[in-house]
Amino acid sequence: MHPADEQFSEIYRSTYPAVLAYCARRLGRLDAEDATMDVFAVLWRRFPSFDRDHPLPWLYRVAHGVVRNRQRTVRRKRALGLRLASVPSYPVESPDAVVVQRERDRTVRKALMGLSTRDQEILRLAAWEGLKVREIAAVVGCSEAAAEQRLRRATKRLGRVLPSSIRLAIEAPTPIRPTENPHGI
Amino acid sequence: MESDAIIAVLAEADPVPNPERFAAMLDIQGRAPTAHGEPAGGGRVIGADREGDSRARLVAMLAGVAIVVLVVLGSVALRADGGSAPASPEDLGMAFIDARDTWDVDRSMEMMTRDVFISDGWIGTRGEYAQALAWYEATGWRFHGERCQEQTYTTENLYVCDYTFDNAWSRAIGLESFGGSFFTLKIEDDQISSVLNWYVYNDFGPLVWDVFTAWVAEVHPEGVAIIFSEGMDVPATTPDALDLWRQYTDEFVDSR
Repeated sequence: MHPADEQFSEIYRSTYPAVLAYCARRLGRLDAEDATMDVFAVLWRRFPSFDRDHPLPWLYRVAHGVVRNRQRTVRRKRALGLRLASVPSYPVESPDAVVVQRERDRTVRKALMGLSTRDQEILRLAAWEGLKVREIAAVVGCSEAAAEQRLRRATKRLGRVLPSSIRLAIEAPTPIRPTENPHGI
Repeated sequence: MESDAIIAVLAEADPVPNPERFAAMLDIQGRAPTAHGEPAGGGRVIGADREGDSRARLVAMLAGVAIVVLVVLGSVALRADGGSAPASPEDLGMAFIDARDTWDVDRSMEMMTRDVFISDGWIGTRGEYAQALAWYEATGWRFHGERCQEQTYTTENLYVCDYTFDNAWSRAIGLESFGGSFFTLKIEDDQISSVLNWYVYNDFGPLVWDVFTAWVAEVHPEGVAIIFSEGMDVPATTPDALDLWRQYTDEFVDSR
């Protein structure tokens, strides 16, 4: 196998789940698979000039464009609600906890959807893709300082639109929320 | 810190908290190829499916070939170039670009499935694609296919087709064709079911689009509201708008 083929395969294997998740978070399950294929088709075409040491920010940047285009089309076809609903959820231990957690997650996601698309994207990159400010800057195409400022402002705006029950929990002296992701990521 | 806590709350609301598990759930991992389209693990299954379906596929293929032959016989008289039906997906990809280059709506529509997914700038549906071709004609766009290649790594039936483009404005300004753009086309059963246009705008935007739109805004400010449908990014394609696009393009070319 040609070394470039091996590198492509390695990058594809190692980054596929992350890119698929990125697309699924924004498009839902059905469109996510096709969108992910589009992202890797772009990578395949651009591979000779691609920074192979830092694939994810670049892939997220491509995915951002692909997702945006798909969202436009999906909006046109008036199918977005159905598709977003198709993302699977993950069970946690107690049934009560599931109900409470799911309700809170829905509330938080709804609050997020109320922000501008730019705010939504930078918050998702930080919270869902788990990117550092430097990586966020690379994805959205701005300086690190600008990314930090945008993230800070977006976070404040999200904080303002969260329901008071969640805000109070955040502002409590002893955080009730664990610092680790409860899903074990 | 409050902002960290807000991010943590949002992280908990992640609809895909475990990407690896999510990918596994969709049974994508099993389809992950090693290279050149040879799937690791899932390859045997896909191959077996193919074998099992071979007879049905053969019948479908023969029927497809018969339909294509009929379509070609019916449409060959209408073709300016007198060309034959695409012999391969790569040829179909090149023919798709050629139909775009000649603003051929009928031919373009024939190549795409009825429910084709299109992600092509402001074009998202078959109807918008047809409107776009009318606009390309009014403004003198040309698309030159360079090559189509199958992208064999991630999925079947995906083809990447490079092209260059120019239009009446760029030619009037004295610029060469713009390269670096490509389509990724999903081609199944001799039809295109997905179109993604990776359109490189970096040079064309400032060197051509901005120049032309600034000229229109200065010379024909009254026409701006007619020829654009969203700000100054998306062209309107009503009959009146297309007439103006044609008129303004001719005037712009004459003014250079």
